[in-house]
Amino acid sequence: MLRFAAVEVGAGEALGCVRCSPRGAPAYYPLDDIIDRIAAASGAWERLPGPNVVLCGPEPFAHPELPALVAGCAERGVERICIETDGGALAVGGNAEGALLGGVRHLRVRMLGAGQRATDELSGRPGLSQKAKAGVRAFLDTADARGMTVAVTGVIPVCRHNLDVLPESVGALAEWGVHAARLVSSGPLPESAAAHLAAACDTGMLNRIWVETDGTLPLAASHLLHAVCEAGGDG
Amino acid sequence: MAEPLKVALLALNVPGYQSLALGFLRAYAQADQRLAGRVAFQTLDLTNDDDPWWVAYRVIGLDPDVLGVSVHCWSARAVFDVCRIVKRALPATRILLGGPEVGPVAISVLERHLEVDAVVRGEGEAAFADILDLLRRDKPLTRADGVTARDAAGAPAAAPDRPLIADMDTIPSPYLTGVLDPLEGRAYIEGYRGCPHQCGYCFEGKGYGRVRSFSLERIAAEVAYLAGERNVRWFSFVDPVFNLTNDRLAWMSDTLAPYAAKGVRLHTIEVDIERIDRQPAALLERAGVVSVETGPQSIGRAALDECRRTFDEERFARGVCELRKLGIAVECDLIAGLPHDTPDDFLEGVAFCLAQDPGKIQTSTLHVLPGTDLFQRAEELGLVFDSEPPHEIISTPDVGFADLRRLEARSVYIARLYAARLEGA
Repeated sequence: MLRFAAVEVGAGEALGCVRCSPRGAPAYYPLDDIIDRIAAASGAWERLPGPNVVLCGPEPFAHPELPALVAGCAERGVERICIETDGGALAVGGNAEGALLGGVRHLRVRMLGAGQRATDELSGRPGLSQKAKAGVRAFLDTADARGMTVAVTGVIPVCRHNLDVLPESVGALAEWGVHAARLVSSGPLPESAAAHLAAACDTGMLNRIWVETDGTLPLAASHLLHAVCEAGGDG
Repeated sequence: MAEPLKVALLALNVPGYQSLALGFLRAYAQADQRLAGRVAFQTLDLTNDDDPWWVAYRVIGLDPDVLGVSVHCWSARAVFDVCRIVKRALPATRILLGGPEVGPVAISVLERHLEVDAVVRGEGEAAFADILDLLRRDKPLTRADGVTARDAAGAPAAAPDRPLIADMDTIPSPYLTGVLDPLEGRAYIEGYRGCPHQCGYCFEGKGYGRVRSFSLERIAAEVAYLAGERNVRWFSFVDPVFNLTNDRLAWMSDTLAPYAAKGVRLHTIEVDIERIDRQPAALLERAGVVSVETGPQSIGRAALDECRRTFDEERFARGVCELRKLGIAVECDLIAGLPHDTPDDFLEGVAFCLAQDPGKIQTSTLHVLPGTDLFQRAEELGLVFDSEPPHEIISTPDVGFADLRRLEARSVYIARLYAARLEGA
């Protein structure tokens, strides 16, 4: 319903399960190239509300010129600036405040699952889950203190390695304070997946956060309202 | 009863608001010659997140002979808690309720809440003054028209309906009489009562049936006092439709424009947006309006028909567009759970509102309010709702319990996604 144009900041992959596929070193694009893509996305925007852009691809906070990228979005009339991140960098220094002051109002925080077992082990980055939690809190607390309305969505790439911890992962996101969780397909799943996904959706409802799936994940008929099929929509 | 009669007036408001209703009740009673020098008032304008025991503590500390409470769906549960505690602590205190949550179901309220002595049905000012006069003379409350009270045996008994007040200016202004002080530089003004629409889910018109307006001179005097002497910079009108007629809108614009030029702003006034084109939009801007609230509530044809609402997509979009061009934010309201609406109908409504880029989208689930057409026809329409206030919808023939909660959660999230944006982009 509310669409974001995806602008990748480099070649490489966002946070994902290293057991499914090893992550290579990212190669970031030059600032001007990315700004051109932002301008193109903004200029071609036709459907209200917007334009809205999500900076994604390999971790945007590791891009050496992220502040200039965010400023470039604002200068080109982007109304909603989103960063898709693993969340860890937001806990560092003034990154959360800097992002907010630059105009970022949306975060998509990728996490692989609750606690060390999932995010830390599956990402191959020990300690990431604690940093991400602290980063999200820093972003939310700073926004609250400054009276800014923000939207933080937890994004869980669902694979066979984190399927059984999906409900507790959604519960963890609720504890972090995110506003919704988005479950996206990230590899083949066993037949039992629908039950885990339904349980994850129900966990969100019980913890007062919305949970949506990308429409390709198997869902029981009773839970079809959780499927958001539109590409680039909602979260 | 011994004089002066000690009267405590209580409202449990949504935080940030104060009760205009209590202001009207008190201003009217204070002007009643029968009560002059015989009644002493205290107003407790509290909030619905205050603990009922703390509220009761405040009331009991006043040791009132009479406790009058304004009851809305958002405050009713807490009000009944307070009344129960107060009655146990002060059995001689007479407890009177009024307001949209209790008036339409007065007998039921008295049957279920033994601590309540009387309920005022409909417009309260004249009935409340009559009750106070009857109480000070130790007469039965059932002598007051528009009141349902207990007879000698304690059974609910309804007096005849009371005619509506014909001349609204006979109700003194709570502001001009000093009964009500603006709260934190904000003030709410009532310009008229009644509603030209008869939407099935809504009780804003309070069953009055016709529109009765305060005189334009009275409204102008309130605005002048508040914006001038009291330096109020933030106004809202509680009228169901601010642009009731084009002539009235032009007059309001003329009246408010001088204050708007000095920085006075009108927030969240309700408008019939389908009647707004370039000229009415300009009048609203000139009046200092910065935000308006409107429907569509639903875009599902069957639901609209059942609720006696009209919806013209093009006119609605034009209205939003004209206001946005002038920098006026529009809050689009949608209700999940209206009769005949499916989940797809509701979500298409959300998508429609998003596509207008109005400024704000507000979604809620249906509350089947006493006095409304949907309340009376709930069984016929298959609407299952919580009998306890705020009477939230539980299920409809088209949407089950879980899906209603899902629609609520998803739409709240979408509204947040929409609201989170770079200001001035």
